[in-house]
Amino acid sequence: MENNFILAAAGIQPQSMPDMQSWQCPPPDPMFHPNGWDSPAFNATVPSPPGSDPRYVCNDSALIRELVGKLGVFGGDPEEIAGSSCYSTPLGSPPNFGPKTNLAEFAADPGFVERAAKFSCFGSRSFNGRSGGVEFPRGQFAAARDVKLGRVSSSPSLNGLGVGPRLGIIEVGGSLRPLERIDSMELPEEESSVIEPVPSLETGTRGSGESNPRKRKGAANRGKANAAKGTGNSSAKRCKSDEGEDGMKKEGNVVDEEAGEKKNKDEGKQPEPPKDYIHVRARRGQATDSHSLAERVRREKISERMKLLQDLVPGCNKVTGKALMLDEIINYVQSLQRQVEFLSMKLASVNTSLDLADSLMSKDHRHHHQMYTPPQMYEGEAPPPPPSSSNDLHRLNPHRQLDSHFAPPSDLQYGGGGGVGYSGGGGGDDLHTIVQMGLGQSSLQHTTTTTTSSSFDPQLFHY
Amino acid sequence: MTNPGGLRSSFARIFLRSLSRINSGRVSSSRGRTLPKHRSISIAAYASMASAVGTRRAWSREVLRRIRRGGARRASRRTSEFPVGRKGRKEPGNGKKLKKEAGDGNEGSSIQGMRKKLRRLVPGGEGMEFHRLLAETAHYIKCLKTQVGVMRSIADYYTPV
Repeated sequence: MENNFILAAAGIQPQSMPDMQSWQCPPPDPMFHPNGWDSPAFNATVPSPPGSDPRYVCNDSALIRELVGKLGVFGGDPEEIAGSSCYSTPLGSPPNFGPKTNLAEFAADPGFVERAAKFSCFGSRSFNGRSGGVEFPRGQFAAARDVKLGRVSSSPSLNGLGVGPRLGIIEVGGSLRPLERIDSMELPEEESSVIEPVPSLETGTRGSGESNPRKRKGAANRGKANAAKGTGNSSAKRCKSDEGEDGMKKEGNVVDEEAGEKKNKDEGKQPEPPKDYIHVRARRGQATDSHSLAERVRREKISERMKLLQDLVPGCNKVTGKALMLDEIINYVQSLQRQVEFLSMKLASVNTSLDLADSLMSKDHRHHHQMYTPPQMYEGEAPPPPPSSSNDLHRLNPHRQLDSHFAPPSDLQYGGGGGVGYSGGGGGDDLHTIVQMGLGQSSLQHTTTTTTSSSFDPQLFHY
Repeated sequence: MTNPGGLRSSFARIFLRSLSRINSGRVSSSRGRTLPKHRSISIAAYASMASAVGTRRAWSREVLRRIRRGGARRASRRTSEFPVGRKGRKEPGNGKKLKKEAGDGNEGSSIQGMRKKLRRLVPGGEGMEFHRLLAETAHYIKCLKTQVGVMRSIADYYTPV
């Protein structure tokens, strides 16, 4: 009858279960052993022969629960999977078919055997994967398989790793297909055939299966989301900030992403891989619309420049964060500008010698200094220079706009005339060398001083 | 990057020339007023630096522009009063200022305030995007450092030992 049908579906010979009638629906929780996946465990958890357990009265319900639990496991309770050599119902209890006979009956079903084998593969691999603690680069498979695997793999523990179940599946490789097939096709069939007639029993199975659908859904969502992102990111940008899970790898961006992902926390300091500005990639878990891509490019440029500025501004190394650094930079610029003002005031009070200033010029201007050598000896007011030399000076002066504001041509001659003497060409670019030479030269010259302070070097002013 | 030795010597050259000009005679300001000497020197310093840099940089162009316009008092200080031929300085990149980075963890107002400040500090910083502003700031800082160094050497040279 119905019971027999169900039992047959389960691969269990009805006549081997004479006592199943006596089973009750067992209380869901206490008898469910999530870890009871080892066959010895299974054996152990398989309770005493039916007759001995007064709790089990509903044979069919127990069987169904067992099946559902099996399917649920299939759907992915990795805790239960792990290390298991065969899948057994989480509920070691109810399926009280008598330990040996049960196993035998299960084994008898070729489908179960196959599934058990695959599943154990899966389980062991995933277990290995999990213990390996991996994050990595099977990204190529990950995204592709995500959707498919979403249903299969999903326990919080593995998901926490991020890649465990996927890794497990991947390593299984060839067996993935059968697993998927099993997953996609057989489970629903089984479920539909088994569960539908006994909808009321689902509540009983909730205890074990309830976590599974949740996990499955969670994984499915994540898998779908990841797949969507993976497929959506045909060309996306690499970015320092990681919005998604850290362990997730984007499809195709295997090595670089790995390196990038590991460093993605540190916004300010990570070494940037060489970027092609035309082709940019988004990291997994990030939006890929053009606006955010452009935004990310901008942000990267900004952080690059901030790094440069950090080197320039002293004392900025310890400071991290944009606000503080900006503050430092602003303060530094302001202090530099104040220093310029202060020094200009100082120069205004100190520097009063024309010829000295001129004599400090570099050798590059030697040639038009030489124009002024004749008037070297004049004192006081410099005679108005010959127009030709002023023209020359103008020609040589690339910065005309300065001239118009700062000096009429004649003034230029003053400066040039006074300065003279500098024909030797200073010591290259060294200002001090230039100054020395200028000093040497100027000591021979008379200088007109508009404002002199007594503290001046007398050498400069002796006649 | 520009050779700092080259920058330093060009700046020194031009600045010294300007200094001598200032010292020798009165520098004629376009407005006809005579500036205090220190102000002239300060303007001379910025002008020399901008000239040494040339027109490669936005800030140097801006400085030269300001000096050309003759706002001597403002050439080295304020930026906001200038009607510039470039993108409106009047309401300086409001769009830029409002444009915040999406992922910015810090609260926006202080960073925005600082950005505004930086734009005001760096000549020509009003009309550009932030990342360009940062690049200009970097170069500006470098040039300011050489400027201060040269001026200090000159001042030290002239002060009695």
